Amino acid sequence: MKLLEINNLHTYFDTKKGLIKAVNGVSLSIEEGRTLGVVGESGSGKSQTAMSILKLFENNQKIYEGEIKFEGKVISELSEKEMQKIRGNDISVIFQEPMTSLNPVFTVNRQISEVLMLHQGLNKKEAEARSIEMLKQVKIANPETVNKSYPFQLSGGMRQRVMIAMALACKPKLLIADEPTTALDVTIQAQILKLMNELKAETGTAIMFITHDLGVINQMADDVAVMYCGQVVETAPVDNIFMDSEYIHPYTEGLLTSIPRLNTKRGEKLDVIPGSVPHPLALPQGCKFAPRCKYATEKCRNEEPELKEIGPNHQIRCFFPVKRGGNK
Amino acid sequence: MLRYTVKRILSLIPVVFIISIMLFGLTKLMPGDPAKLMVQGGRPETYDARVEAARKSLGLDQDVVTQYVKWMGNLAHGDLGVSSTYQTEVKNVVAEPLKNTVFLNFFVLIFSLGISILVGIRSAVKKGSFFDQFWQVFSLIGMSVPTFFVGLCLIFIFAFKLGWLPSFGMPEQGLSTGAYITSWFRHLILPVTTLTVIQLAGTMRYVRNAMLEVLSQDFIRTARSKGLSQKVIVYSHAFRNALIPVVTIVITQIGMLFSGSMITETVFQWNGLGFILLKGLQKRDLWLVVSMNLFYVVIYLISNFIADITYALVDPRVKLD
Amino acid sequence: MEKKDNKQKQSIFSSFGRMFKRLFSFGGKKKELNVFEEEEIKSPSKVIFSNFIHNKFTIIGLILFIGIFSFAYIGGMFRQMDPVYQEPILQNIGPGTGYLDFPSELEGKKIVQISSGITFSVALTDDGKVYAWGKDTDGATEVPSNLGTNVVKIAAGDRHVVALTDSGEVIGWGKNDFHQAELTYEAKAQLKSDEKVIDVSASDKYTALVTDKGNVIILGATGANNMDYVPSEIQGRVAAVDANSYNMVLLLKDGTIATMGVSGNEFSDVPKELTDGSIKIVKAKMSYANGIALDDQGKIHVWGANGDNMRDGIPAINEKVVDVSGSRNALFAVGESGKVYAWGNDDLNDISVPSSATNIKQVFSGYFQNYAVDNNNEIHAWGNDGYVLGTDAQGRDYFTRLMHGGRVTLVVGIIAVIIETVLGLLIGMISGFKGGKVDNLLMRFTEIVSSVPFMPLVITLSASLGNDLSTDQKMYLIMIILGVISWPGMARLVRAQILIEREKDFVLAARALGIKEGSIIVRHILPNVMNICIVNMTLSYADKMLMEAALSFLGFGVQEPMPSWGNMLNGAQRAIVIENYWWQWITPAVCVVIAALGVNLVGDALREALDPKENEK
Repeated sequence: MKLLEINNLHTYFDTKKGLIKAVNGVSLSIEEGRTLGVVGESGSGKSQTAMSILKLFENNQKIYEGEIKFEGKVISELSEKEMQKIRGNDISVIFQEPMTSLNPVFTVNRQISEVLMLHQGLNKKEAEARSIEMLKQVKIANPETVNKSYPFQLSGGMRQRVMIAMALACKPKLLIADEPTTALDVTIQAQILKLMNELKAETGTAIMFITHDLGVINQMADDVAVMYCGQVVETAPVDNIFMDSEYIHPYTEGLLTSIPRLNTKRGEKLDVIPGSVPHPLALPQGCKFAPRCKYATEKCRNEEPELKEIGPNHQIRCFFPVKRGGNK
Repeated sequence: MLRYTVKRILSLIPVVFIISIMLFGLTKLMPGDPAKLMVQGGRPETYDARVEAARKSLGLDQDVVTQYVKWMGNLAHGDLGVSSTYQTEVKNVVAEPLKNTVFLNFFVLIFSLGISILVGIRSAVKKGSFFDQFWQVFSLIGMSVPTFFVGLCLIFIFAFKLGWLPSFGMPEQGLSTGAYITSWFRHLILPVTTLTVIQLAGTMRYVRNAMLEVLSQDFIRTARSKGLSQKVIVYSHAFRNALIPVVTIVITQIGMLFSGSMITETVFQWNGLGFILLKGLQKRDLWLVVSMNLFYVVIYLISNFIADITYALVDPRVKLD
Repeated sequence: MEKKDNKQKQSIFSSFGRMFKRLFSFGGKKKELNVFEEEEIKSPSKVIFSNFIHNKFTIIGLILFIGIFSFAYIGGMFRQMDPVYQEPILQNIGPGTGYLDFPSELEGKKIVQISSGITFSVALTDDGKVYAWGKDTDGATEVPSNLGTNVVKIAAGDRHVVALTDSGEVIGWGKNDFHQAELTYEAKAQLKSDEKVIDVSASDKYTALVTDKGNVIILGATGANNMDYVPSEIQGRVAAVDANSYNMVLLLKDGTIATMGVSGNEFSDVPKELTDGSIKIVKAKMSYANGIALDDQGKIHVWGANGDNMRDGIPAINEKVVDVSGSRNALFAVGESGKVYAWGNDDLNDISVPSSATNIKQVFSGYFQNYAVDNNNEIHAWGNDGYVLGTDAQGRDYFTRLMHGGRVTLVVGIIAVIIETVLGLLIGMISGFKGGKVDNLLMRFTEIVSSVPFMPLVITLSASLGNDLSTDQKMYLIMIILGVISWPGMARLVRAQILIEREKDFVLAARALGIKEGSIIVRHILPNVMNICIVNMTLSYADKMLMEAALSFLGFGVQEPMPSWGNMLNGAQRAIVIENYWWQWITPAVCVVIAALGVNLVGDALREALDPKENEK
């Protein structure tokens, strides 16, 4: 069953220089208990899609079009008050920067208890006990001490564990992880990813995992959505992307070939995608990827392709999907 | 904490010492003989003798070093010297003005802090709104207006044109206690308003900027993602952090307030320390001037010291040792 | 590549030059770029500049400041100021001009007489009607509605007017605090039953009447100046009178001259030929301290004090004189040819007779207003036309003093800020770059200086050091005190900024590349320090102006007679000034506010423009 469904979502920033179409017609869905990996370069709108779900907006940002359904209920129209009941309770978030995402003047206990007292109506004592329990669950060795600590006394990995504990405190149905490991050392990264996988197995929480790292996607996700310029350009089960599917999007191909591999020979050049993401206020006509696409034709530059089904659960936004390995 | 406190107090001693020498030197530069000013009038044939006596009573017949040492020694005992204008101990002269100044500043602090915190927070939360812009303009103008001009305008409007409040001075003597207190408060309203307006302009801006800084932090987004209400986020999560810079500046300001109320006291002829200091300067009242200046220094240093301690109390990241 | 090598060889000075160019320049070659490309290409300084200039507060601030600056500097060039000028009767006059703007109804009418008070004038036409104009004080310009058309003589005192009708009736209006504008019971008692008043003249708080029996009757306050004492030898012989503040000149029936009032001055010492009957006088007028008499031969005789060369500086008159007149500080004669001769003091344009005044037959003057009537009954007016912003307690024009006071306040602030910045930069930079013990010592020193409260210290210093100084020296002292005491803030900022910049990645990178320390300092650290300096200077400048104002307000700043916006406010410590002479405290204070607000706005906009966080948006 679909836990979350996003249909034709448009989230824009209203700036002095014009509307910035950060999310420009995104459609996605997440199945219960599964992990959706959302991948794309920075500025592709993946984080803003996630923020749109909880409506964690800046002042000048809002949903202009489309809807978001959670457990079959439209939540994109809910008032701020009603959203507050969902945030941290049904859907919670882990952010990229563990160093700054915790309030520096409150103890860990206060920050975890707060959610529990708010959403579950626990009293102070119960909340504290549960807080320690949560810290145990995220494999913190000395939960009692950490519980009483201030964030500045903890390392980055520890803080991210605290963040996860806080996010999972109310047993949410969906966890949004916005590049949770990007700011961490590689070894810590692996620990955190492992922890998340374990917790998912334990609790059955669905995860929306946002990253720019295809390697991490392969490790974490069940399904993948590739985003570019505020749009989903390809969505498929993870295996399809990495090996099974015959056709893939040229952008996905670019991402895949630009991953350095252990067997890449010294001196051999990586296949990188030329150019950079266009400025959000000066998007190209036609296919947004056309200016950087080596297969682009006149049609690509003039007409915008639709997302279309090319296999089971596999959709591609391209007139001329690339045959894997074939065109090389 | 205790070690820090002791260390900090010890480090203040040389500062006070150097300043006291500076101030003492300053009084020596002051023209006019306070002894002569003290004995004006009277019978001319006894003039010289009386000047001599006054000189002795003021301790001016000794050499400068002895005078200084004696003065410092007396200070340590709480003896601030003799005022030549009032012909009595400085201690007695400043007792009443000190009370008046403290009360004046106490009310100013309460009002200016209360209003600037409320307005500053709201301005930051509603950045760019009419409310915010109004107070921004208010604060810019407030920072560009001389204190005494605010006072003069208030006197002009509320005392002279509307006649609601007394213009200058202190309540007259000989009133019954109740009437005296009422009158005292009525005299206090305009000076308090003047200083509050001026204080407000700066503090409010400070609170607003501190809040803006905090509200743009990542942990505010975290707090929102937890489902906390706007109120809790602003007044608990954000303000608790903004308090760190605000507390420091506010407490340092208390030290400034005492000397800052000088002009206002003069405008309203409020019998406070600043008013007394000005009168002392005009009459070349040596010890009075020195004692006042030293008093201001001490207040400033103490408030700085308290600011440091409080800083550690509101910010868990700061450890004093 | 060559270019790069050259760059490294460039001296520190040229780097400095470039730094400033970068700070203040923008534009240059322009290519057609779209908004986004442009934004990406623009150098940070250009972004800063464009942010700065596109901020509406910048524009408002600049307009305010440039406005007030040109008011003081350019305006001051056009209006000269005499700092020690004093004219007691002009003191505390409210704002208002048009003292000389006579009503248009007077045109073409035959003028019988014009008489002026301090701020107003009244005219009498041959149809017996009275007109009044100028700035109203105490109702002097409000001609009573019951005044008939049978007025034959009129006289304006300082703030009152007295009219005489053909029936000898005396009607007064305006200020009457000493009964100078009414025929009191006592005065009436002096009049015999068949006696009629035929001439009238008025001055400060009194009126002099002459009767057809040659008697003089005085109304109003004269006791102090001995003015109500009419010598018995002239009583009964008087034909006409002209009154001034302290004296009166009387034309006797036999054509000789007598004086009344304060005696023992040069004026009361009338030349013998005018009193012994050897010359027959037909008209006698006076200024403040001089008398002028016209004899039947058309010759003039002047006596009295020689201030402004009034007695000895009579212009050569090679014709018969037909009329004489005297304002407070000048004397006038009208020649047969219709030419007006004027001499005396020109501070209030008393002798600046307009060139259009030809074919004049008569001159009327009183106080500071002068009117010449020509053969076509046209009126030519000159003299004091009033004060845009009134006068101060010494009778000086407030508007002019405001301009010159602005110069002082603006300059004191600038010099103080420069002193502050030089000291702050020096100490901050030594502290920041040297570090270690030097830093520790300097910071201790900074702490000590800044822990003495500002205002009391400045006042104490000013009172202790500035006692035996001239006004100029006192002004310099204030600049120095304000500058020398306020550097700690600047020093701390500079030091902190240097410490921050030194730790920045690009500085570490530059050091790692082996770029010389001096070059790093000049090219990477100083520009950022300068930014902070400029912002701080601007904001501090506004502060300094407020300080000067406060200091001078309390009487410890710039001293009189040199004006500054602050000491012009000094009078506002008295209730009467606050309540009645509002222009004397509101106008300088508003000037300070405008200047400080302008500077604050610019400083604020600068800070915002230089704040990298703001630039990201």
